[in-house]
Amino acid sequence: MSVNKLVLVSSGPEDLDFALKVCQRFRIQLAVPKSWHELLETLSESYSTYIFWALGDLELHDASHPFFIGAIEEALTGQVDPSRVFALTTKPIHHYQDMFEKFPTIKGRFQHNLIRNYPPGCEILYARLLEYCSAPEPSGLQKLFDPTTKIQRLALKNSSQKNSAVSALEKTLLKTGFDERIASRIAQATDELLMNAIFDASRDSSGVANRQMLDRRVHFAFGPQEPVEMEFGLNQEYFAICVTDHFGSLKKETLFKFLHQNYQDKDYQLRKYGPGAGLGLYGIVAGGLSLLISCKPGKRTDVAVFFPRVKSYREFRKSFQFTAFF
Amino acid sequence: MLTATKENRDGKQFVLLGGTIDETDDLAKVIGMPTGPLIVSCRDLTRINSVGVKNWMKYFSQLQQNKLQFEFEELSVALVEQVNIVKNFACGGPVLSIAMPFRCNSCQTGLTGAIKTEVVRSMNFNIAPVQCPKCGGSAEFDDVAEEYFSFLTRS
Repeated sequence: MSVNKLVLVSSGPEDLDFALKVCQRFRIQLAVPKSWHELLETLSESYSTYIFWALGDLELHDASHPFFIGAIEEALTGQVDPSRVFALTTKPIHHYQDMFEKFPTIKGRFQHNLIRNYPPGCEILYARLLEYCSAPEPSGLQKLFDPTTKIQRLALKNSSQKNSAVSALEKTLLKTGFDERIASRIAQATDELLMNAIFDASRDSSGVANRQMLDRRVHFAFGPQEPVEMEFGLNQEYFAICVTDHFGSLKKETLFKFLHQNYQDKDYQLRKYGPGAGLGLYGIVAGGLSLLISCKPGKRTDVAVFFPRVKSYREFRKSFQFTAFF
Repeated sequence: MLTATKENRDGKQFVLLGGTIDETDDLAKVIGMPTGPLIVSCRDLTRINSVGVKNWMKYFSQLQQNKLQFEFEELSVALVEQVNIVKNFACGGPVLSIAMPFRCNSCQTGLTGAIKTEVVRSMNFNIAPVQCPKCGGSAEFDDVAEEYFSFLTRS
């Protein structure tokens, strides 16, 4: 019988220390293959293996390296559940365009990305993320918190409620003791998630986007089956907010296109017409926030943003960061 | 909601922006179209969303196309974040000074000052602690210098 395990493909001691903590927390075994053959053998044992694969190091571009980056395709094709594969990188994924251009086949292979900042306690969240991977229909925030954590819920019925919901959230965070700048950042991220849920996610009965072209100032009521829902969760380590639409229209390719853009190095081109170019989601990740997206086609999309509970902005910038798509 | 306070400063048009910029704000209406050099102080801008970024860039790229001179003063932390993640956010306008966030190690008070970008460059991005005016403790730069000043290191 195969046992659930985490395979770490990295030679970094920090990655090993981190993976060990996650495994202890999640109560699974850790395997650290030392050769390509050992890796393939370990992966062949179970389709449900979790993988943390260190990417972005220049040494991996050397074909003689045991975990040559160009061979990732071979290791991952058909052998593992793609929703359990995490790329470990030093910076967010959009910084690795050169690598993806050089090895295009690996681009879609990593649905999740963990930044290699491993502050104390981050293994709690990451162990829950692994648990989330194995849930039959992952959605909402509760699985990402302790079962005793109270998740608060709110439903918006009209697009006009967006700005007041964002302001109310910011005020609540300030009252809770969040740093002003972090509270503002959370409010801004929530604003983006709500705008996406209200305008970009919406589809008519034939599946055609019907609100993407609308002026973002337009106010309208949502249909009875189409409320935009918000969830909030808070524990000692982190705060999360999740926005849910009931269309389930976000495609993995679209999300990756947005997240792989790099407006830090190339100019952003203003569009006169048409939908946005994912500037909101790109800004959330480029600004150092963590993003978890779960899409059930035709049913719902949950987009959650996570923030560490820290006292200063500098601590926030050095804290955990991940993106995950289910 | 975006607010603008306008005045004339040494023959140049000066505008102090405050509040937030989002889908409801039209910069051309709030600031108006300048007839000469424009100085934009962004000290009191607390937040800008992605539609606000587009509105901002639409307005300032129009000035750029019309060959009108404009420069930015006291870019708030919210805008420093934007100029760091969107390369052409300033639309060619020079950034003369930026907000500098500090946090006191003793009383945890957050402080914000401003510094000229040329001074930051001359300090090689090493920001020394300052004295907290509230408790006299040491307040350190509250961000990661490599990231906060990254727009100043772009070629």
